[in-house]
Amino acid sequence: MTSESVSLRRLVLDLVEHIDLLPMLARQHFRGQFRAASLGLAWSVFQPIVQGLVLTIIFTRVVPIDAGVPYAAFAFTGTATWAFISTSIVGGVSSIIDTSSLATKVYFPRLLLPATPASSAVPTYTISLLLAALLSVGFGIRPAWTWLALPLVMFGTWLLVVSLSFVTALMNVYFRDVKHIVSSATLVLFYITPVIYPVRIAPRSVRLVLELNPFTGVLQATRWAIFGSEVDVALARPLLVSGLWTAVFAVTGLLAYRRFDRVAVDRL
Amino acid sequence: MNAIEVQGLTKRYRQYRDEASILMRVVAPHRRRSREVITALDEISFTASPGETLGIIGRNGSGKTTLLQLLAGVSAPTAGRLRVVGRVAPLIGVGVGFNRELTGRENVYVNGRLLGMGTDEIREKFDAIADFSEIEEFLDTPVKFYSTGMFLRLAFSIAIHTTPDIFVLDELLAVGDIGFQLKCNERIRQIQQSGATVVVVTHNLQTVQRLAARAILLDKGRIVHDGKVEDAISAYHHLLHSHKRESRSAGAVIRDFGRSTPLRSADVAAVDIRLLDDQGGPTYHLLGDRPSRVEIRATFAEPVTDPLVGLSIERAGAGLLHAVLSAPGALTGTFGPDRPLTAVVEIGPRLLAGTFAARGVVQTRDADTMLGNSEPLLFEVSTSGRGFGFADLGLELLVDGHSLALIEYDRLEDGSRTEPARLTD
Repeated sequence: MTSESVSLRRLVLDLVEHIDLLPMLARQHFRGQFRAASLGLAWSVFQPIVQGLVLTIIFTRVVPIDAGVPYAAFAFTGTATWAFISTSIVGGVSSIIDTSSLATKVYFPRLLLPATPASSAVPTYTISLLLAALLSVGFGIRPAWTWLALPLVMFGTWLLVVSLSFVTALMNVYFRDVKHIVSSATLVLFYITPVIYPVRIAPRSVRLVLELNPFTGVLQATRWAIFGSEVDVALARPLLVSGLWTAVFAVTGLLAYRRFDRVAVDRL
Repeated sequence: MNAIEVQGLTKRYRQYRDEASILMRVVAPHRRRSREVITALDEISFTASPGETLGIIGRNGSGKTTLLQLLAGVSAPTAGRLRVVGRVAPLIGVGVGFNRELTGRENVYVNGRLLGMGTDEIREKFDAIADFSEIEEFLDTPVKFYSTGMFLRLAFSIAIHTTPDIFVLDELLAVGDIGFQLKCNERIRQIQQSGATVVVVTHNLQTVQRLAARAILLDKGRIVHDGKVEDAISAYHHLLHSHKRESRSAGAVIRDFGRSTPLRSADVAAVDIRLLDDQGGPTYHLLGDRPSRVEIRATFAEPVTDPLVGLSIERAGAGLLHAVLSAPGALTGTFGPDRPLTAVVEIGPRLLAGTFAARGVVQTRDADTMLGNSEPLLFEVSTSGRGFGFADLGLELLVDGHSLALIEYDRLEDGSRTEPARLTD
């Protein structure tokens, strides 16, 4: 261990001490994103709605898909969740670089920075999912007790994207093309995650990819929470996979920040 | 027990000339990236006792900022020991984390938190901060509508209301109008008196001298002087002179005395100038309320008849203040390799506190060819007289024919410090 490292205990203590900064940073981030638009929150919800509408038209009129529930309800749960995931990981990867003017001047745990974009997207995420739930009621799906699990599902999704961003953001400090790799990967991920189609209809050859995909589990869980028992989704295994990925990212992240928390700033 | 203990502190960076890329690692794993190791701090050691005010001076790139970052815990040392007792408020750059979209009030909370205050503490001090900033009525306006002055006032007010054990000031004081500056100075004095350890890192030698009794001079990552602030400052000036290239750019002294076409230049004379204090000894440091002299000494490579001699004085960062040149024919005679020219320029007690640069010049009789000019001589004036600015123009304020007394700023008498003058009656 070089003198540049910090102990894990110290890292966690610093994190706990500064955790109240996260909502502040998230709020700043949110305001910064919609600086000219007074309808900031409305605009941010608008995007997954439009995407959901387009998908609904395509996959009910052009290439019909049987999703087990009305497709519009299915699509909108997918796009609402995906919008959160993609903005969080794309924002997360450059989060440390983007705040270099702050990070080079005062100390706070760098782990807070990758968590900022995801946290700033939580209000949008919440409203979109509530709209998705209402929409599914409009399509005749009865509200279920599983709705109560939505906050937990959202927290799990948040934890997954934040843990992933721990790793990507730090890598991006040292290798500046990680940002481009991540944003390209996000485009591909959209198609190999059950956002627009149910896992059930995926051909066997793609199954493995879907099963190993860290985001399959959180999407399945979201649909389980919103649709309740109306649709039979495979839950346990994908959820386990998502959880394992989260743990891998989080542990890798913690170990990496133990080493680089105090020196990543030298490369900004 | 010391408040700050630094032993063998070393910080090295790798600096890459191109941006690091994973792709290049994969495509060309054996290609060595061009990089150099920069030693920003090279085994420095010092201590500061609780309640002490320590100045840190040095040229750009001397390691000041790196040292600050290490003290503030922003970065970690490569080697060595660094022990800081208590909470450090790192005021590296004021207004850190200010967000233009948020209101002044919201920014007070975020910025205060980043500077190490707790939310409750900020709530408690909010009125004091608002009051100090003098912009209470705009606190609920987004910061993007603030003028630069308002922005800085608020930022300073927050910074100055932190109550750390160790207070790190970085170029903090040169902002706002005079009234606000005086207020900041007073507040810093209060902080000093409260027993906090203060580290002042700045280019502004005046500030260091006013606040600190002891200063460390850094050069190329090493401590070249640690001791009395006056000695550190004169060591700093000597350092500037030993780096001619830097001092040339720092001086940026005009050489053509306001001519529209540049002078032709002939390298005939080597001009050297020295600043002499009222005792006649060479110095880089003047007390502005005492007369002093600059000695210009020119040696010639070939005979020159009836040359003109002159001196320009520039205020660092503000341009030419005054230049004089002897009239054609005023100085007669032929100077040459065996007959150097020595001239003395008397400077009256006119300069106010600040950094100045002087440059001596020798021209031909018809004033169209520069025979030689000196390197700029940087010197510091540390006594401010009446009023504020670069030089005392002898202004008098009269009411009903009676002359009014004027505020004096930061008067230093024989090295002893007094409180800044205030308007009282």
